[in-house]
Amino acid sequence: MDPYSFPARYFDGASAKRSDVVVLLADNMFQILDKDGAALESWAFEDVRLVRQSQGVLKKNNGLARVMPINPEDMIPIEARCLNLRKAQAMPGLWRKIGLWGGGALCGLVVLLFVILPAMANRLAPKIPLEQEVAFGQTVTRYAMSIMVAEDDEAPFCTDPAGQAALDVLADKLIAAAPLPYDEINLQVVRSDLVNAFAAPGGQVVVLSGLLDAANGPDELAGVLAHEFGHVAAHDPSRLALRAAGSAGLLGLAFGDFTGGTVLLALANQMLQASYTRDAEAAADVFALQALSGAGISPNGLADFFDSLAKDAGAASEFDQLLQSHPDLGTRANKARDAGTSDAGLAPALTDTQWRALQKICERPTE
Amino acid sequence: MLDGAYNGGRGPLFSLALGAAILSVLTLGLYRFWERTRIRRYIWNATAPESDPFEYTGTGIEKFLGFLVALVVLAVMLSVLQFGLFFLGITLIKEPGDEDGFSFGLILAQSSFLIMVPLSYFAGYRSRRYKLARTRWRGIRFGLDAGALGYAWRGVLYLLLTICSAGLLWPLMTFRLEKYRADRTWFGDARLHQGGSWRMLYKSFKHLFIAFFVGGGATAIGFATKSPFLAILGGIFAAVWFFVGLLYYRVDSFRRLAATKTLGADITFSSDLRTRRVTRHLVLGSLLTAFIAGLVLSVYGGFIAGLGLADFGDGVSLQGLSLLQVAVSLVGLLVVLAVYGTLSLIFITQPIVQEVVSTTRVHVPTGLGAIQQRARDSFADADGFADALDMGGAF
Repeated sequence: MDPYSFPARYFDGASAKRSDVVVLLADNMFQILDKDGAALESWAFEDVRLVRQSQGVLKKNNGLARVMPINPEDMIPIEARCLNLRKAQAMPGLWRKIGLWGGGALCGLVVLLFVILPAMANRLAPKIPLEQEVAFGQTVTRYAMSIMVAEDDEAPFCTDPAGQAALDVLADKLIAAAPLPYDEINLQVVRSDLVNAFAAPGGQVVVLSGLLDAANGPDELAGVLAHEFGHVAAHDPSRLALRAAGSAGLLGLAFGDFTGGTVLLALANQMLQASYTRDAEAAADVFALQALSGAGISPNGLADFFDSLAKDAGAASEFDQLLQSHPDLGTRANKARDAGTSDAGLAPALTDTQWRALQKICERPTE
Repeated sequence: MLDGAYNGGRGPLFSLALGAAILSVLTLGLYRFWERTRIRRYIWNATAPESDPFEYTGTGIEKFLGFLVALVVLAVMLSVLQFGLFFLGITLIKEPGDEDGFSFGLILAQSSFLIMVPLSYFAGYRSRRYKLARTRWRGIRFGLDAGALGYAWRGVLYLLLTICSAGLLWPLMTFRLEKYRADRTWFGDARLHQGGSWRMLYKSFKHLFIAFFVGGGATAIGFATKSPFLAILGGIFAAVWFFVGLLYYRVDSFRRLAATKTLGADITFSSDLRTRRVTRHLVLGSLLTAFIAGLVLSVYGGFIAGLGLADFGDGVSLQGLSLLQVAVSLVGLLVVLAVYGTLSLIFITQPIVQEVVSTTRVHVPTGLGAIQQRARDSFADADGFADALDMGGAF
């Protein structure tokens, strides 16, 4: 190609001085000449690069000096001769760096979320000092009750002695078959319309009286109690709380706020929590079936309970299932039934007298 | 004397930013590091004192890696902190039924957000350091010395002072933090220096005082004389003038701080920035952005309804929706938000950048030739902490 020269501004990359130069494109070289014609720098055509997204600033590959043609039309002959203008700058060792840091970071996060935090939660939950955990559990219970119990109920705890005795008989049967890591379990019935039971930290278990009314017999109650004892045995209430505390906000960091990522974040957090809780629920089911079997109680009661819950809840969409903190009710019912194939002729968990006394535990004593 | 000049336009920036924003949405946020980098390159290249453009030499991959590094550090720190606080919270409950202990324990467990305050100062300084280190003018690098930790505790200290003084010590905070940053800033081997004193910024407080005394006074008199009209009028005036006062404070303090800066031996600065023009861009830009974004949102809403994806008969609920419906709605919503971000960039951010740049002057008595190049800073964390904490402003 014919030689071509044009005026330009030159910054040598060593000082902030601006010089007026003439650039000569000849002999495959981009030659930068000062006003007297002396050569300041010479770049090979193939080494000339355009500064990214600039209006026409040229540099040598990986170099510090800059050249700006004064007339924009001079870019045309430059483009004709320098064919690597837009080639990406070589960054030595880049892919290795990416692999190392990127892979390391991702691994670190995954390990943290799925291994370290759960392990720490599992380790620390049993180590919470008993007194503190019991105090915490009783406070949590009181808090939960404020939601589940009628406000004007002055004495929400049901204390009828015959009923409490029956309850203790049932609890003792289960604990004898599957011991718990607490010397004392605080098992109480609370007056409420809700059909529910829950375990709070420190060996506190609460049964809502709605469950007693809805149950079709002592076997169902025995199943639910055994399940809650499963949570107590695994220190689940404290464990899950620790786990949630640890991972709260972690996902927020990862997703960032790329215009609305917070929505995805909330979903992801719920899915993460839910899957962890689903595992805990499944484990509690296994404990329950073992306890029932050891105590000589049929697991069909538990299966019936799951069935009736499923009927009320209706079918869950695939989206719901990801968010649910309980495993699918149908599966749980089947597992329970399978465990009881050889239970022909097992006695009910409580005698008729005991069951009736228990169902009346929340009747207020007559004045 | 060097005049600032900004050559960016609405059209080119809009197509660049919108394309990049949509890519970010489609990649679930992965592309946002490259998006930010490209927007920075555009704005830097458009800023050209004496027709010599700035150059941004940061890369998307560097930003992404920095983010990952920051993420791991923050993740470890935060989870350990949360854990410890929760444990501490539980052990604070002395007796069963200790309601105060329980509430305090709960608050303690949630208070890891308090660590965000010093963290955000830290991240802000690191971010500025990265951006300066990757900025060149006439080929010479800028720089900011290390000192993020010092910045963090100073930021918290001055923030506390400002809060405890009901805002009266704010000029002290503004000045001291600006001085900390400025005195550590370099252009090549020339150091920047912030002169002046914090008391000079009280002149910038003018309109905030007016808002407080006139507006607050009117409201107080209105209450005292039981004239609701005066009280309400006073309240409205106070609220509106408060925003005017805030803007005036930012602009006027910027002018004063610029006029007292020195670079190297004898280079000085001056700024003719006007509050009126900044306010105009802010207000008009916000209205225009909201209006156009609203249009786009309605079109999107019509699209969703038309496809039969929205059946709001029993009220909005997530149950009963298939995964596909949820996904489509979410992606669409995020695209709308991307449009909003792009609009605010071209109608608010860029005009204000243009305003600031074109009213700034650099006074160079003896020429810039004496300033020598600086060595390259390598950064493991780039501005990753700011990215991880969702800070970082418009670009």
